[in-house]
Amino acid sequence: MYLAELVDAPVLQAGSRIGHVVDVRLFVPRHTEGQRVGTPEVFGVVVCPRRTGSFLGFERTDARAPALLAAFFRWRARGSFLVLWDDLAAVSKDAVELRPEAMRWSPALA
Amino acid sequence: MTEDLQPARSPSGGVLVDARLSLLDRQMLDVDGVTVGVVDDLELSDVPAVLERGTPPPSVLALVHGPIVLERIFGGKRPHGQLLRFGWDTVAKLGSAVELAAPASELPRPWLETWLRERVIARLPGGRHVPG
Repeated sequence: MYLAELVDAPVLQAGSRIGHVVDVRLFVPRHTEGQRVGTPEVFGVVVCPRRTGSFLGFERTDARAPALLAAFFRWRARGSFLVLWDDLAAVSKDAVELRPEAMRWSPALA
Repeated sequence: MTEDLQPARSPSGGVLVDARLSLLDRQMLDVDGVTVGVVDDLELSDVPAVLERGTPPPSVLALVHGPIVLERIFGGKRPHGQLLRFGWDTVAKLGSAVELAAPASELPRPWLETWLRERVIARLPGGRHVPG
C-alpha cells in the first residue's frame, strides 16, 4: 500500500461521505533496533469535510503567525478532525471507512 | 480546524508527524549531503481491507522516489520497476530534508541513468573513470 492511495481519499461513515483524508499522522518511535530513526507507524488520519489540500503547517499548535494567514488557514480547515487507527473500519484506495462509533479528536499537532 | 475537540493522547517514546507535511516532497540527502531525490511517496505495509479492532497499524517500509506526479493526479499505479525504494533502515535523520545513512553510490539510481551509464557512457573513450 502507498501513502498516495490514502491521501485525498474520501472518508465514509455509516454510508455517508463526511470528508477527505487530508493527511496521515505517523508515530515515529525514538528507536527501533538496528535503525537510526524508528520505523513510523500510522497513528491516525486527519479528515477535513472539504477537499482543501494540505494545511501547510498551520495544524501545528505553535504556528500562529502571520496571524492573518494562520486565521485564514484555520478557517479553511474548519471542521477537520483526527481519527485514530483503531477507529478505521476499512481502508482501500477508493475510500477510508470509519466505524460508526469512531471518536473525533483535535487535528492540532503539538 | 475544530477548536472544541480534545487532543488525542499521544503515545510516549516518540513523536507524531504528519506524513504529507513532514515527509512528502522533502529532499533526500546521502551521507555526504548530496541530493539523491525527493520523497514522492511512502510505501506502507499492507493491511486487510476490512479492519478488526486491534489490527496493527501499517508501518512505513520505504521512501519512494520516481515520476509519479501523473498517478497523484489521475490515479493508477506505476510499475514497481520504475520506482526507486529507499528502505526506512537507511534513514539517518528527519528534518527539513531526509538524511540517509549511505553514500549515493550505494543507493538506488534511476533506471535511465543506470542504462545510459552502462550502455552509452561506458563505451565512450575515457567513459569508465573520473576525469582528472
